[in-house]
Amino acid sequence: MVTSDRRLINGAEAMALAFNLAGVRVAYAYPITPQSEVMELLASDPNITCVASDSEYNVLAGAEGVLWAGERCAIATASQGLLYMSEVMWEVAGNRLPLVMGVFSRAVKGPGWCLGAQQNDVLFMRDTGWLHFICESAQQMMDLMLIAFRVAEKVSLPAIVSGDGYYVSHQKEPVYVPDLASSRQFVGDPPRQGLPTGGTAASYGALVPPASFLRLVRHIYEDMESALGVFVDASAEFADRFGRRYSPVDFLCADDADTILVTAGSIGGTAEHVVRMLRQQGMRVGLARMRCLRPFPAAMLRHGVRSAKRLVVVDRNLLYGIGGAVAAETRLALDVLSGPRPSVYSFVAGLGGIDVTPEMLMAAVEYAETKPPTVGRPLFVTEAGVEG
Amino acid sequence: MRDNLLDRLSESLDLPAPQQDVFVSGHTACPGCGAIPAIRAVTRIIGPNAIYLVPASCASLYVSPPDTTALQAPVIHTVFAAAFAQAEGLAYALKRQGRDERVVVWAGDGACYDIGLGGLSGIAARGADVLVFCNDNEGYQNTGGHQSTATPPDATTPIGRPTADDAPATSQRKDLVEILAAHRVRYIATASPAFPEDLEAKVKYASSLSGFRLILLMTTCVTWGFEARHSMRLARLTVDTGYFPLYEVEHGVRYRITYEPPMRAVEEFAALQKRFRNGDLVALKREIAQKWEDLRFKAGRYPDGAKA
Repeated sequence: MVTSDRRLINGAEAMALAFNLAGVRVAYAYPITPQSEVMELLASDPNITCVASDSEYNVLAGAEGVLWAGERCAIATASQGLLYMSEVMWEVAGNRLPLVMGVFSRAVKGPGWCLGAQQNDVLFMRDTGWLHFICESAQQMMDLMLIAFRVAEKVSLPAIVSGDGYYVSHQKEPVYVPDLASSRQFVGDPPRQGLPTGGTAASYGALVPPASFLRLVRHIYEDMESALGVFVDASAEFADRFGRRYSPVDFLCADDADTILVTAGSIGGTAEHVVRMLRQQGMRVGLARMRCLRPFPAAMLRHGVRSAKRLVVVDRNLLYGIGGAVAAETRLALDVLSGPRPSVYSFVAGLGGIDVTPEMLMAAVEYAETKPPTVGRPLFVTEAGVEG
Repeated sequence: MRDNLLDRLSESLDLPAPQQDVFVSGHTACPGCGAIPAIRAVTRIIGPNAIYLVPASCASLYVSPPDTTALQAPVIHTVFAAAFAQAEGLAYALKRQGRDERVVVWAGDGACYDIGLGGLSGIAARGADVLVFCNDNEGYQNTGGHQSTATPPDATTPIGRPTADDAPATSQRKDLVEILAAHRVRYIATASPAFPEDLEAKVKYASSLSGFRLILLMTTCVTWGFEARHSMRLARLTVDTGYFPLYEVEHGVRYRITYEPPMRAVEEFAALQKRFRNGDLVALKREIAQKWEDLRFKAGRYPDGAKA
């Protein structure tokens, strides 16, 4: 029987609890705001051997070593820490080690230090071969972490579960915490076949000829693609067990909508509020919230938005030379549609942790409903409205 | 499967059976590579019940050529700076699972002295249950003999010459043993494949301990500019000239010199290699003299010996 305990906790606590519920026995830690609370909680867990490492680079390398034994490992980071890990991230994915890492997104030091929420850290890792699930609340952090273990270990690829720093990491909310036995049962045992064992000659990650390299890389590509189906199945089982259902992209009021807001991360909660408010005013507005960014659920998104007139994509990130990342990927997803397709409006808001208010989202919707889309550059939305 | 005369002889004479080679044929190292006798000796002593980690180095290429491996034990090939922390994580996980495999890193001087020094220092400070072999051939030999902070003074490399007006060239190198001694690690030793009994004793002793252990191996590299046939002769000269002292350090403070070299002229060692042709050996001789002065002072502090 499943019992859930309802607790007032933040996303950092939810993440640490999820590692515990998944049966993790080893953790690697290195402090960085806004992730440090996760590390403190893991270190105080008597069931976990927590290694206080010397850098995020060595946190990930250490975790890779733990995974080589067929043992799960808890790690979490943000911003500079994630960037510092990036070399090893390619190798962890290439070695097909299903590590699950928590990230609380924070702006990256470019022109200066800024500790606020911005998703460029995780989005920089889109090409590394890691699955990426993104949350808008502490409850989702708890749930998607558990689902991530299932998906990662099934497709033998590592996974990032991310939430926007502070909005998810620090904000307390009532969270249903599933009981230990049901969580362990849902997550299952970590796979151990094919891993190094003393006395057995085997080499891992050695030099391979280009033809073999191509074959290995294509396996990763195909298995990444298959992760969407695995996510759907794991999520269905999660819903049966725990009552909350997730889809790679969750739609709200999208079927008859003329305008659909598209978000990834904590803006989703505000967007839900705005959509419900505008619906009350009789406006045909809907919402698509990305839960899965790698693999990108292009077909699901395309199917869900195909009859809308316009998409209002609001990104809390900025890719220099491109614009918003989710907008760019949404455009790619629509590329195969023949005939009429929704216009894509790319808005960038909330960089550096600036709050994205309902008024800002309404200004974006109003702009899209009255003006043609800009080509080739995003529109910045601030409290002052849309800047052309 | 070994069924040779030596095996049958040792059986009939009631001698201990010779240890099986764990590093066997099929590797792709250069003729004259000084690392091969070292890795053979080391792996034979440690045995196959170990998991080896190899960061980017010549060993990334010669240990496991495509579709095969010369090491009769599992080997994980990894990126340049990641082997040390990875070994530590593996050791913690094995312990948590109650497994008894040893965790061994086979790294070059580039990984230990330069790009991976942070990771090495980290696992040393945390006393990770890892045995590290630093295969010190005094440079980035895999890329073409480039200078590392293990490259000796007076040596010429494609990116550094020992001239007064060339600031980036090494005037002095790092002393890895001293760096790790300052971490108070369980055991550090230097060893040479040209002194197999000394090497065997140190590897056996290190294997019997737990915690962080490092053995610095001086291995010759043909990129130094010598004929392959002189490889082992040069390896002997690294020790017999005092250029590479054989010693061990316990807990970072108890030093013991394990071999008294005849102190042959360093010119004899230098003359066999092209890399010293532009150097006057003044800086090198000063380094050797200072190292021995320091070593004798430290070895004299605890006359009971290192293992007390």
